[in-house]
Amino acid sequence: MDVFSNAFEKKWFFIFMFMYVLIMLPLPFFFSTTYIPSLGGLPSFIIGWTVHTAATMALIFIFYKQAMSRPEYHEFDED
Amino acid sequence: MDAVSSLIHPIPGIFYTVLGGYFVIMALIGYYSAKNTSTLSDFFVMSGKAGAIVSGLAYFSTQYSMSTFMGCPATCYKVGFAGLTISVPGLVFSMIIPALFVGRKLVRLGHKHGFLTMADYLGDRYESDGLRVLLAVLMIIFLIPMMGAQTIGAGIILRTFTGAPEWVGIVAMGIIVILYCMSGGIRGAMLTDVIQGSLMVLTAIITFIISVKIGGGFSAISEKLHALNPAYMSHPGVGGSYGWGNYVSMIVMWSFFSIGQPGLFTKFFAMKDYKVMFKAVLLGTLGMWLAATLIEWSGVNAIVSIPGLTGKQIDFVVPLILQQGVSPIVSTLLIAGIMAAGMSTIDSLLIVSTGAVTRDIY
Repeated sequence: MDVFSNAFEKKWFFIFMFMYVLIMLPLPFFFSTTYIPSLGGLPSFIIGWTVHTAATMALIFIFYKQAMSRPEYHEFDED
Repeated sequence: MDAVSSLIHPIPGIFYTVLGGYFVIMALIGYYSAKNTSTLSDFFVMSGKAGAIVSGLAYFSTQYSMSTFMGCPATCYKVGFAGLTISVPGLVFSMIIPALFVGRKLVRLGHKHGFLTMADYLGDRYESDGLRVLLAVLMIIFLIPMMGAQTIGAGIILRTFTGAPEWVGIVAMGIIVILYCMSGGIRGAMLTDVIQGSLMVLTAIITFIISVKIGGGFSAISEKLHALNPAYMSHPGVGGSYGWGNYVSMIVMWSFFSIGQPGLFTKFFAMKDYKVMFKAVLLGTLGMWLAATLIEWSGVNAIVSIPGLTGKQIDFVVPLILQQGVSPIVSTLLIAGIMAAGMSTIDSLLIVSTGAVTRDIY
């Protein structure tokens, strides 16, 4: 069970790496040197970070559900 | 009376009572854990039987220290919203990336080979006892100052709130942590982490609500901040510290530095199975995100809610917010949450340092 051990692992590795690199990009809703007001006058990057975090959390949950349907993730269930 | 004490109006009797009660609960958990700890594997990794709630909350509360509740909000008070760059954008990766790269392997190796410490794994991987000893020595050299910093924080809080000498807080925290760690091992550390982690989240939520309320709501705070200084509302923030390079490095740091922390690394050895690991990742990440985001955001809100703080006063921005919004008893309990952040860091470091001395060196 490694990040490149099979198609399932590779898929999820690249999904999380995409999200990881995405948040680093200097897009105005993640990183902004000018004030861009959004909800409640908050800077837009606060909303951008929150949405990105929520999306990544949802992906972790989907990864968990899919992983649990695979036999290799039940190796220690009876311990 | 120093600059901080002049702003804080505690009632020492209530402070001692609440804190004393909290310490007694920690000691009782240590006693319970001691009764359930009989082997070396129990002591260091709960024999690989830790559940999701314990693993998730222990991971996050170990990661957070007193600086999360004092230094970070203070930075945000000075910098503005860009100060949240310290942790908020990268936090969501702080458990999933360690889990992807090493966590799953560590769960498997812990179960198959009975590894108890980071040095166990590296020594076995490279077939080198020298490496084990070197790693153990490095851990002791670098972890002891980290533990010292947390106890000093407790001393400063106690002095500020009661006027007692700093050494009283340092000794009290040291004794309690040693008591529940040395008697209950990792079980004591992780069970107390559950209470400490919950208290940290509660402290962050209540501090945030009060800071927004005192500031007059989100729109009013944003308007006032922008009027005070537009740099509060954008990168790189007031002082210019959070440019894009720093932004990226903070994200990288959050995801990869936890892999190398012995206290966090060994948490994977304690997890019962992969299901527990995933649940711990979800719970721990949510706890970290809530606690860090809300407490750092409170620091920004305090620019409007509690204006004019300078120097060391800024480090006490969280207690100052709490003081304005809740009763002294609740306020003290939540300030205990700040001390909890320090205790939960020390206990894990103490366990891995103990392993380094007794197992890897001796």
